[in-house]
Amino acid sequence: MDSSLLDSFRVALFLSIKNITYKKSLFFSIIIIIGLGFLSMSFAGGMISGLVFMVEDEMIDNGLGNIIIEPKGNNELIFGANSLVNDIEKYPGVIAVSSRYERGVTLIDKNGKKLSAPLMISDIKKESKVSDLEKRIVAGNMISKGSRGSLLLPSELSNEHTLVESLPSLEISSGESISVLFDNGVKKEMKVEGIYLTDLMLFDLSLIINEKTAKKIFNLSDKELDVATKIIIKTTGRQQDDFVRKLIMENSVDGKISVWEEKTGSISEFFATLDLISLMTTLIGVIISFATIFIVIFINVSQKRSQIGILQAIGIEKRTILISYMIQSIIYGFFGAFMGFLSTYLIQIYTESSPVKTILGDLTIIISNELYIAYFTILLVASLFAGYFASRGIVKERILDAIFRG
Amino acid sequence: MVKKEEIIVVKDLVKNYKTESVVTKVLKAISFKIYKGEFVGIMGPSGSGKSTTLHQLALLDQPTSGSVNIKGKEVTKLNEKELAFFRLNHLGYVFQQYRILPELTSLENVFIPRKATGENRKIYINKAKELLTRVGLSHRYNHKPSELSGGEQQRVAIARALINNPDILFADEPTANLDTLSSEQIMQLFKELNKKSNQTIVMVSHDPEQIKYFDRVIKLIDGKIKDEKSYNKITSK
Repeated sequence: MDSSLLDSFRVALFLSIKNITYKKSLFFSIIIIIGLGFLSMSFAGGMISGLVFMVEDEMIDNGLGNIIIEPKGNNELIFGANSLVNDIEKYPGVIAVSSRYERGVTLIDKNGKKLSAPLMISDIKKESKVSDLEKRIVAGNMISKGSRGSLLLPSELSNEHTLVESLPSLEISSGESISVLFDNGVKKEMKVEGIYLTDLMLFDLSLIINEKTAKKIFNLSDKELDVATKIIIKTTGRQQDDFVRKLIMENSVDGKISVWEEKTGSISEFFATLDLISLMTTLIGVIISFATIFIVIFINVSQKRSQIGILQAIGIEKRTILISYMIQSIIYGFFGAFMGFLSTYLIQIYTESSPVKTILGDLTIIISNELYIAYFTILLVASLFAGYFASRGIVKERILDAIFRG
Repeated sequence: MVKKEEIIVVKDLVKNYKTESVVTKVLKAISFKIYKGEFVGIMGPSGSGKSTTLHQLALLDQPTSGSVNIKGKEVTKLNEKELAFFRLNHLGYVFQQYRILPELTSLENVFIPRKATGENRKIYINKAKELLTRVGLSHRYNHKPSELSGGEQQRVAIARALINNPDILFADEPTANLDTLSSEQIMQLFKELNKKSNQTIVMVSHDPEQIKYFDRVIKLIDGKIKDEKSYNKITSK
């Protein structure tokens, strides 16, 4: 007695295509609205992800590196640092390795003002490969591997370049000399060769000297200087970090090995807050998109009340009519979501080639493939729900009410 | 006197419409029979219950009480699915305002009820073309309703109502929106269908001029049958 589901589907598909192609302007209007829904869901979240990624990149490039090796347990130093650096440099996935020997100094300016700061002794050539230090010189010049008696001053210690006026700083500019009291008691007048400024104040704290200068000041032999408080490794990309860490561990390196994510400290809490904001923004976007799609499809279906009644009057089953409007909604949802995906993806590609310049660096929109799939699915489901609930209400109406009041 | 088989038997049909506090009695326990091959007009003044009667017979509405028996089947007891199946396979309906689907061509409007039966595409297209030719629209297969005159749209609606060879064709004032010439043509078409194909037709009309086309007229006044008059070949028992 009952016409088969396949027959219902054939008629429903036929009616859906006819309905959609009848008013092309309406079709395009609806898919634009759904597309904008996609954009509203993904854009803010993508910006926040981009912001987080940018800050993380700054952290990696300006101080943390991708992988950090530190002394293990109660040890204060890593011994045999140079050979370790040379070994790790050969690992696949590694771009550069640098060892850092950190101590403490006190700086005294010409007015006698004193400030304590961390001191970083490093092979400047290698350090320039693991970090963006060379690019961050804002006054004066970079110190060379062979120079002696000169230093790099972090911007926050110079009153000329500090970003935060309220923080204590010294009256010193590049090219001038400053009195440095090292933690071994040696006091020396040194030339400020250059001042560096990273995008993250967090990394603008250490005074930097090269190994040659350190050797003389601390009266160390090559062997005595073959130590490090940190070994910084730059990999070919974040996706290689775990692989390289595993290689280092497999080679029984004596040290505590961490990837940069474990070293972000309080910034990770800030990132968690940003992630929460991103999630909330996405959720609000989802709700707005869902409501918009529902309303648009509901209005579209409501305008067809009379036709729904007529179809029932001529013997078309409710099920067929319902399937027809659901197919229409899925088609709207699919093309709308595709349009939204395309626009978002194009914006993403555009920001990758022309990033937005911000005080923290170059901002790009980041949306993962998984998120694109999730947004796409959400919009399809929203369209399907909207089509189902909107048409179910009308199909349930008395035929005469639908025909004559539609 | 020729006796014909009963195709519709209506007994004590009541239809009330309820609002929050008021019950309007539209049909007050009417009973009548319609025979196969009859062309019956349901007439009466406005508000007499003509269209309401037709809606109950065509299964577009549920009566408050009473019975409607079509081809020996008590249709008031059918569920929604059975009603849709019955409407699709046994009944045809022509509305006053054409009510054909604007997004479909004439041909598509006509074949859609046949397509819904699961019929082969070639067969339903040929049948739809045959019917459109029969109603004089062989040159309008691929025209959308917006490209047709009122008379032409009503012909498409008639062809659609006939596509599944219905046992009964219902028409609710099908000429009310047409000019005199188109009305005349449509009524001629109904008469021809009735005569040549022995098509049972039940039509609501308010136009006394159309009595000449009917075999019998059931006159309603205030929800009751005032009288039944036979004019042509078939009479009630």
